[in-house]
Order: sequence, then C-alpha cells, then structure tokens
Amino acid sequence: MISMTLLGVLGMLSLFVLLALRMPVALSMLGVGFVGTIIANANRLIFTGMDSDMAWARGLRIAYSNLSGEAFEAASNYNLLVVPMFILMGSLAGVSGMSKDLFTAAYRWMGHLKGGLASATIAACAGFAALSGSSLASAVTMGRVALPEMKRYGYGDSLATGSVAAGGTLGFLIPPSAGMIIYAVLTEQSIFRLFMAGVFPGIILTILFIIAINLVVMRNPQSGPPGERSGWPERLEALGSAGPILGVVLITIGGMYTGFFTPVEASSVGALLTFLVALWRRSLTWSTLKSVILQTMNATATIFLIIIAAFVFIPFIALTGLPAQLVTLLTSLPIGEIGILVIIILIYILLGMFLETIAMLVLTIPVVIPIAVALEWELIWFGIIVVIALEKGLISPPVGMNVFIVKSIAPQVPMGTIFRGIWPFWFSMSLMIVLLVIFPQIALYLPETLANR
Amino acid sequence: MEDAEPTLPAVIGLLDRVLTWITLILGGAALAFMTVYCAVNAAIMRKALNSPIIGAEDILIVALVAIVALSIPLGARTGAHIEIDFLESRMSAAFAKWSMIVVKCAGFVLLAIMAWRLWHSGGSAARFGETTQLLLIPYGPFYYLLAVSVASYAVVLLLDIWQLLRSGKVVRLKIAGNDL
Repeated sequence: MISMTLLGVLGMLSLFVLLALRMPVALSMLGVGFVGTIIANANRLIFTGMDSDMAWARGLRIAYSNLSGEAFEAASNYNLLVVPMFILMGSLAGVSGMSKDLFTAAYRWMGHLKGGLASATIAACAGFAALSGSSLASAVTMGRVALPEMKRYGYGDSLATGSVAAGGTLGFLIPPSAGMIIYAVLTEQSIFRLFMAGVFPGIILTILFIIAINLVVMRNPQSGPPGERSGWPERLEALGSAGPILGVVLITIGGMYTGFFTPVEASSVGALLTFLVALWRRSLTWSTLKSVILQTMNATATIFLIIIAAFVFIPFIALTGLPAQLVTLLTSLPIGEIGILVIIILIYILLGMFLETIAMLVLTIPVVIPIAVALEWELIWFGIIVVIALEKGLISPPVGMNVFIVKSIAPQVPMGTIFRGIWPFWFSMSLMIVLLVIFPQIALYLPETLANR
Repeated sequence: MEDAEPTLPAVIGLLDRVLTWITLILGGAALAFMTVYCAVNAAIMRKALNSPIIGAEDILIVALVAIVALSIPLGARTGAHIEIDFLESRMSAAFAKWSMIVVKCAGFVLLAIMAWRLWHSGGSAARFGETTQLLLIPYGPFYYLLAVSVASYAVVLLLDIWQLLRSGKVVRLKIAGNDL
C-alpha cells in the first residue's frame, strides 16, 4: 500500500515528466488521472479491508467510468457553449478587418499625442479584447495593423513591440475571456459573475498601460514621437466606422450586464451580430469563411480536450488529499494570507516562464483553489488575480507566447528589444494585482451589485 | 540552413483533406445552426415573443457534443493540443525522436482505451434509455460520435509515429490563421 499523499506527489511528478517529454497537456492529465484513479481507489478499498484483487478490479471500473463519463459530461456542458461561440465571434472580428477600424478610431483620437500611437494600440487592443477571448488573437490582429504604423512614425522598436505584446494580453482579462470560462467551469463559479468581475480591472489595466507608455515617452521622447493631428470630421468619421463593432460589444457585454441575456445567449447573439457586421463590410469571402470555421474548430479542440482531461485529473488529485496537505503546510507558515498570495503569484510568474497559459491554468487549479477556499478568499476575486498573473506569463521571458507572436510579425526586432519594451507593462500588471489586493471591490463591485439586484 | 519539410505520405494527405472538408461542412453547419438557433431563441422567441422554444437547451447540448467531436481529430492534425516543448532544444536529436515515439505510443494506448469506453458507454446509454431532459434525444449516438472522434485522434497519433520513423519529423496540417 502506498500513502495517498505520496501517490499525489508521484502523480504530479509523472505529469511533469510527461509534459517535459512533450506529451500534449491534455493527454498527460488524462493518462495520470486515469492511472492515478485506479491506484488511488484500489488503495482506498484495500485500506477498508477489501480483497486486493477485488479492490484493483473495482479501481479499474471506477477509472473506466470516469474516463467516459467525465468526457461526455464536459462535451455536453451547456455552459461551455460559450466557448465555440465566443471563439467564432473573435475569429470573425479578426478576419473581417474590424480591428483596423478600431485602431483607426483610436489613432485619430490619440495619435497626435506623444506615444499616442502606442496608446491607440492599447485602446484598440482593449476594444478587440471585448470581441475576442484570446490574447494571441488580439496580439496577432492588432500587431499586423499597428506595428507598420508605429514603424512609419519612427517609434522605438521596444515601445512598439512591447505595447502590442502587452495590449494583446488584455484579451485574457476583458470579457469574454477563454481563461475565465475555463476557471469558472473548473471551480464551479458563475461565468457571468467572473466576466463582470473582469470589466473594471480590464479598464484600469488599460489606463495603467497608457500611463506606462507616457512615462516611457517622458523619459525618452524619441521612442514615441507624435503623429499627425486629425481634424474633428476625420475623428468622427473614424468613430462612425468603428460604431458597428462598439455596438456588438455594447449589446453583448451590456446584454449580460443588464441581465437581458445569459452568457450563452450573449455569446451566440455576439457571434451572429459579428457575422452580420462582417457581411455588411463585404469582408467575408469563401476563403475567409473557411479560415473562420477551421480556426474556431481548432481552438475549440484545444480548450475542450483540456477541460475533459481536467475533469478526469482533478478528482484524482483531490482523492489523494495532496491539496489539503498543501493547505495545511502553507497555512502553518508564519507569513499570513498576503504572504501566501505572494507565493502563489510568484509560482504563477515562475511557471509562466515555461508553460502555456491555459495549460498552466488547468494544471494549477486543483492545487491553488483548495488553498483559496481554506483561506476563505472570494473565488471570483481570486480568479481575476490568477488571470492577471497568467497574463504576466504571456509576456515573461523566455517563452512569453505574446512575445513570440510579436516576433513573428516583426522578425527584424531582436527578442531582447521586445522584452525590454515589456517591462513597463509587466510592472503595470503587478501594480494592478496590488490594487486588487488592497481594493478587492475593483473586481467584486459589479458581480455583487448585479447579484443583489 | 533549415531542413526542408519532408513530403507528406499520400494517405496522410488524403486524411487531411477528408478531415478539413468534414470539419468545414459538418462543423460549419453545426456552428451556423448553433449560432442562429440560440440567438433567435434568445432575442426573438424568449425576449420579443415571450415564447421560448421548448427543449432548445437539449438541441444545443447535442449540437455542442457534435462540434467537440468534430473538432478533436482536426486539432490532432493541426497540433492544436498544447505541448510544452521548451526542453526540446536541449535534447539530442535521437532522444527527441525516440522519446516522442514512446510518448505517442502511450497516447495511442490511452486514447484507444478512452474510445473503447466511450463506445461501451454509448451502448449502456442506449440500453438504459439515457436521454436529454425535455426532448428525450437519446445520448447513445453522441457517445458513439465522441468515441469515433477519440479513435480518430488515436489514428492520427499512429500516423505521427509513422512520420517520425520515416523522416524524423511530423508534418502538421496547416490552416489559415493557425497562429490564433
């Protein structure tokens, strides 16, 4: 017989070995979860006095049942309907050139300021984030539009690439967000409340990014020279062109906020409206439509297989009691709640240097959520902290995914230059976390107000 | 100089075309149906006419299972299932190749078991009359659909192993905008 805690530790170690050997994250979790469930249940039954052969047979049956049952449970989860719908909405927004309209509008209003193009990129990223739940999609789409413009106006490479990489991360925080959906499903929180909790932090982080740009430009004015000043008619025209997109955002997010739509309904209405806007803009060809369908199905595959795997893996880890042991260990340390939170955030930052964001989210949830529950942290608030910590991973060296995306759009810019441009935004995110710790209401105000209505 | 991409065996090229077209036609139809049906039910039937479609949730649930089942094999060929490859550059070429073959073999066994169990659960669902709540749509066929999907992923892993043994490299199916 093996101790359950040791089994949990061995399970986690096996998982990391499989990940290091490049087994897909979902398959690693499925494999460890399946084998672990057999051993953990057999172990438990032998401990209660059952005959060894019978206990192993029972353990195998439970694991078989989990494997198929949890897979079907995840694939038929009504709340997860928002996944393909919001991905579809983001893909349609990406291929239809709406991102260009958003950037043009932000540029006409802010481009004449010092660092204005970089600020316009951040503002447009925030707008695009409200249509797309993916950081990478935001970085790719806005990068293709904004980087050539910033180059044209002689922006410093580090500020230009840094602002695109950082602006892209807003896609993960501003609803709809793929990360929030996964967090909500795995922690049994309301997707709607989590989305609402992301609104103010998303807006404040956008402002912090713009302040960071201003500080950079104050220190080094050559890095962000002002662009041409647009007249009022041009500004209003650009705002008009971005109107349909802003309308879709208002109807989708506003519909959820007012309780007019549930998140599932809002996602489908948003996808349909984005499709209609794309049709109206005549940007849908057979080729773009093909690309939208394949991108949507592809991203759906990524998210669902990982959720299915998490549904198999999380019960195994819970069964071993490892999370409970960790809770006991952490709470016995003389560091207080803030100390524990700092440790968790540091671990996220460390893991973010090597792991892909969604993988990191799914892998850490079974361990960190019991800690948050034991310390009676509000899981919605903690979700926003986790999402921002994950965002930092997206731009942290050496494998910040958004940095690689920006590098693929601007191959002539050295990685070191891009990472140099990241730091002001990285510190802005840290400041945002500090603000959320001091003022949890930034995240909780909207969900609590709406729940009390 | 960068290595040239190895040529793709004809059978994998054929699989890619079949997967792409099945995903485009059936996946596209399912996405379109789900979007329009859910939006119309929400905005027009429920809000405007105060007469929501009875059992809409049941239909959307089975449509979601179909979308998930259709997406998994495509994701297997495009490399959508996330791998952590930051250690690959520190591995010798031989270790990288053979460890990948072992990992894919393990993945194949796991997926084969999962497909078998899903198929088995499909049979049980049919025997015990498991259905959706309102429209009583039987779950059995959707278990079978997921089983076929997972089995297709297992077949893709076998073909990956074949590619690795043949040329030391797996050539993925590329779709436009795959970087998203």
